[in-house]
Amino acid sequence: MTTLLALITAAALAAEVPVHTMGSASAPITIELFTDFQCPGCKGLHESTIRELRRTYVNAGKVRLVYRDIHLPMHKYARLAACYACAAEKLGMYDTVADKLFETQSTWDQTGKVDEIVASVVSPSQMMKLRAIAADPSIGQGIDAATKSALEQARIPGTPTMIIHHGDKTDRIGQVSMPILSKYLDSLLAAK
Amino acid sequence: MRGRIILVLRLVLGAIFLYAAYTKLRESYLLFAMSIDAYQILPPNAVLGVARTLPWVELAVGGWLLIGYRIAPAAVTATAILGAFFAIMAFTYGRGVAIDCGCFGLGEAMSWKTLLRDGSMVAAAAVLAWLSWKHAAPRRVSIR
Repeated sequence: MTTLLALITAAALAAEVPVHTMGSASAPITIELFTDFQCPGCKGLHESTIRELRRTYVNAGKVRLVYRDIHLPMHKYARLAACYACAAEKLGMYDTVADKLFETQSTWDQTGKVDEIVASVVSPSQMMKLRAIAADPSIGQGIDAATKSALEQARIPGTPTMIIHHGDKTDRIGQVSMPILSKYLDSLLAAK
Repeated sequence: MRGRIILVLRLVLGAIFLYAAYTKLRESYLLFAMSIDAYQILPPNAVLGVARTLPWVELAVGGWLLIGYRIAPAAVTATAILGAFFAIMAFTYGRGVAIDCGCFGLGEAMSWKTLLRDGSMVAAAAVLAWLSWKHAAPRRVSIR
């Protein structure tokens, strides 16, 4: 049932909003990562776990990582940040922009100056394109739909949430450190 | 009357402990380790140690309560364990960290409802401990 729900959710989300994925499509494990750019826990997870996960599992073809950027109601600028990240995905610069947004979260979450932060890591010509894409209403609407779907259909309890798909099973976890996640992923890979 | 209350409390609490142990032991201990890790209060090695041992402790305490041998120390042990869980959960909830509670396996978000449920179990275990100590205490016999 959980698996079915996760698959339906994944399909619904995939149809509505551009999604950033990393890693081989044939990787034995897929991790769906639900984060909000303004959530402090997501920043912690991104910096302590996700970067290392990308290096050691995603780049090695063991794990496929699917980013689901959503925005929680109490985070005023998370939707704007997600729109910029989504636009960056369309230009092939998601990682650069997402890393910068998390790195500088404590700056823009007070001021809302997301544009200024993104402009610091993107060339002026690309920034013009990125702004135009981010301002397209369909991007924001897609992120709103993805958020609604995540909270109501997939029943994500909050952010960060990871849904780990392996074989026909799924596990839903939240905040986790790399040493513990690594042990779990190794145990799943060893069982394949 | 006191004997009946003791019987009901120890059977209910014993069943809850056994169910909590079952939900953890049926899955890889590493899934429970990830639930514990989410609380961000223990280093990785301690997380793994607790994940390996705690379900067996819950199983033992559940069995002890159901068997009914020396109820008072069993009830005190249950109160101490549930009290520790409650304190950690309340502390984490107060920090505004949104995580699974990990009480009965994965997938249950921590909320005021889980705190209320855990608080009720602490209270029930404390009542059981108090009643069973009083029940077990030798009565003073008058020589006059």
